[in-house]
Amino acid sequence: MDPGELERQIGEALRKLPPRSAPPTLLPRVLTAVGALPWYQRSWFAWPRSARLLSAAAAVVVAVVGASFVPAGVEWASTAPSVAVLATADRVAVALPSGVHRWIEVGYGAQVVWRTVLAPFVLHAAVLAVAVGGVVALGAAALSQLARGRASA
Amino acid sequence: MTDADEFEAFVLRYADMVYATAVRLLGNEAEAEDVAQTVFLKAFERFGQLAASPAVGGWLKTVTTNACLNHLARHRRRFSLFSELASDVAGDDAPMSENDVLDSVASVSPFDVERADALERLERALASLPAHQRVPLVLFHLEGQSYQEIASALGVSLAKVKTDMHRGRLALRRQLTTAMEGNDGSR
Repeated sequence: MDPGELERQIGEALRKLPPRSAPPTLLPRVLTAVGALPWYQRSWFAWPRSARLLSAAAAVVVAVVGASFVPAGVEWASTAPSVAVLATADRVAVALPSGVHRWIEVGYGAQVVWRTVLAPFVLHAAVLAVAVGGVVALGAAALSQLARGRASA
Repeated sequence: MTDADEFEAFVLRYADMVYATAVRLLGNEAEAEDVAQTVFLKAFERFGQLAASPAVGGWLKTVTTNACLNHLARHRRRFSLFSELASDVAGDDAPMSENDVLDSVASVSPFDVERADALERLERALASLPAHQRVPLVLFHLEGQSYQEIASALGVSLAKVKTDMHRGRLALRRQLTTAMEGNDGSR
């Protein structure tokens, strides 16, 4: 008999093993351990009502504060690097041959397009994505609760 | 139905599956019960998402397997060490040559797993194997994992997994045939 045949025979034999039943002590053990868990280690839906309200309020506060920083952050990101780039480019341009100047002008043009057209769009898209994400998450949580309610009914 | 009732029904539904996986991987009933409890505690912490999920069975299997491997690695500290010590003593780590393989297989006679008490003996024989042979055999034959997946889960080479599994199969076969010959002789 080759090793492949041994593998086949042992595999067949192992798969014929009867199912093992959990001991009757397992369920009471699990339920006792679950009962001893502090509330914050349970599913969010099983938290006390006050804790759920507080955590939801905290999440809203964090989202609002975070969103208020987004415009300032995006504005800084779109202007601060460009100022540094322009200053450096000015210094370097003096020492560069004339053919390279055309490329630097193209770079200036790109900067202008970014600041006037793309940056405001990115800001609004980011705010919209956060808002849509929040709505979808709330909808998913509500649907999940609904499905659980139907499953247990 | 309250959340507590729902969770109790959930544990009752999956207890046998979780326990069976754990007891075959660990080869020890008390340790399997401990691991099963840990798995259900983890499930309880995520019960909000798990209860309605169709993939809950797969999630439980994966968590149980990982919990058993962690248990073997952390609590016994023998899974790799024991395997390395055994290899030092018995040359266990050395890959088997083709002749070794053919000799070892040829020396074992066939066994009849259909006999009434054969499955019970097989269960005992499996539990008595050292962890580095039992775990890959269970993962391969009962959990449907590939050699590569097993090697990566255990953090050992593919060659070592194959060698350990082959030796495990030979040991199982030997234990079964010896027991049956003993039974036949005593009749």
